[in-house]
Amino acid sequence: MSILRSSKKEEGRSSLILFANITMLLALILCGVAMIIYVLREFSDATSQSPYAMGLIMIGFTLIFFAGQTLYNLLRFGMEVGIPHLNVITVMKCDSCGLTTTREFQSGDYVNKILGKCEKCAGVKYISNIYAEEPKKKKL
Amino acid sequence: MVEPMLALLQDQGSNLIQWFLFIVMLFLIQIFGMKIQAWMGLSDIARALDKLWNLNQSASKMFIEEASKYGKGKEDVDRILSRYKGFGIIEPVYLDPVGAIKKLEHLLNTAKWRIDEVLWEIAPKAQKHIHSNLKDMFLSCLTLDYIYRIVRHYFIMGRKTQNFYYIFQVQMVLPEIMKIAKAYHTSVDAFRRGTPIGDGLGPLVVARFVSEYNPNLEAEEIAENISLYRVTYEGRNVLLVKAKGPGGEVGKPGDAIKRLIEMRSGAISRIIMVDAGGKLEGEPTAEITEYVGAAIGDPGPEKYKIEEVATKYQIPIDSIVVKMDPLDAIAIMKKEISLAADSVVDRIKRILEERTHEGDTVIVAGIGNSIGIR
Repeated sequence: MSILRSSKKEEGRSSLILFANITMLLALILCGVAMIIYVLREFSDATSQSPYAMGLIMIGFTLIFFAGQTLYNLLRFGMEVGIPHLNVITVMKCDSCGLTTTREFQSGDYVNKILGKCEKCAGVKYISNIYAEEPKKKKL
Repeated sequence: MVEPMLALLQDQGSNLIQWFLFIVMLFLIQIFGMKIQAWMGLSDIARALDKLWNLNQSASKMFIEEASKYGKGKEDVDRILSRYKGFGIIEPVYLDPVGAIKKLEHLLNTAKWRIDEVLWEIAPKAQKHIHSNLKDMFLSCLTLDYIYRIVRHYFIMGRKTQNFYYIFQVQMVLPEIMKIAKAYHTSVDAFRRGTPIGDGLGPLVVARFVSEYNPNLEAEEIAENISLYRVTYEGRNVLLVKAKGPGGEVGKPGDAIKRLIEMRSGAISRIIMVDAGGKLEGEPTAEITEYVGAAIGDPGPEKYKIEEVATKYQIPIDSIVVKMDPLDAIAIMKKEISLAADSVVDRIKRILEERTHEGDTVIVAGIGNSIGIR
């Protein structure tokens, strides 16, 4: 299928389905919680050991467990498609005095690219390394 | 725990209908338990499939954006890319193993030529190194599309047949599949920018070795897309081999090593290979390990040539492998991996000093993708 022709309508439908799924799962979790609260409040005495009360509690926990797990998976796999932002650093070095400087990677950079003369000793300045590092997290 | 169970058995305060409902529920869980699990498995796969589709689309869009800068419009690039989705190699017959490697190599060459032709059609104005980078982007897009198709196949088969084995075998490996898909998606960005990738460690080691002598040292093209540098270290003649950069090429290192050895009638005292290797979970990234044998992750032909010529002339092969996650191997090179190149250079020097003698000729081959490395 053509990539450019994949319509926005399709994307909209996908978001709608995701929203409906999340709403339904949250409703199921709430139902489970409501069931457990109901049993704890209404069957606080010996009758809470009746199969009816036990059954409700079991169903409540089952709903919470399955809906919770499905919601977790949905959010895990349904995350936005993105490329992690990385700082790409270009390391420049002089082959005679060894002066090393760094800057942001620029298009056209490559390792062992000759950049010209060293500012300090007029030796040959070249790119010695290019690497990515995680952006530093801001301290609160 | 025992008392409530006893209470249940004694049926305190409940009637027959409650008991009946309880037993029916147990039966339903017993009968439909697997069905419920299958349903959950299918929904997991469906969500993963949705994400795979998004990754596939996103990678293709990046490729179209980039390739359309070099001579063709977006519509044309999109049309050609769509035509090649599903492109692959039909493996040769292995029932008669004689000549299987040659048949495989022929097919790999044919595929490479075909992709080269397609890329010249897509981006006729691209320079050689841009062409190589676009080719890597193109291959990542095809791989993502292939992963999507495979997962979709099992999803549809599982849904049609309600067969647990179809569903569970995909569900069990889904985290691994998603990790690989994410790695290929990230690689498209690295190829677009032209930065070195983790797999480029071998060529980086060679580049680092060369730059200690002269960063501007001229290379000879000894085989298809393979550069040869000649340096002297402590009286040893070192022949440094790497894929030709700075475009994203892996070249044919097997051909280069074979040619260098045959040219000297086997007068090579040692082959040292450097490559990136997959790490196991728990192992640190950029751990350096030494092996004996050819460290090269090609489908077979290049490794075969190196092993064959080394065996013919009884040349020992040492390998240095830098371990990394498969995701790191095709993503922009991490700092710790790039810094490991210095340690690898030191190890090579130690091997040269300890296991070779003055006047010896040694081949050092940096295996991997040379994107962003001259």
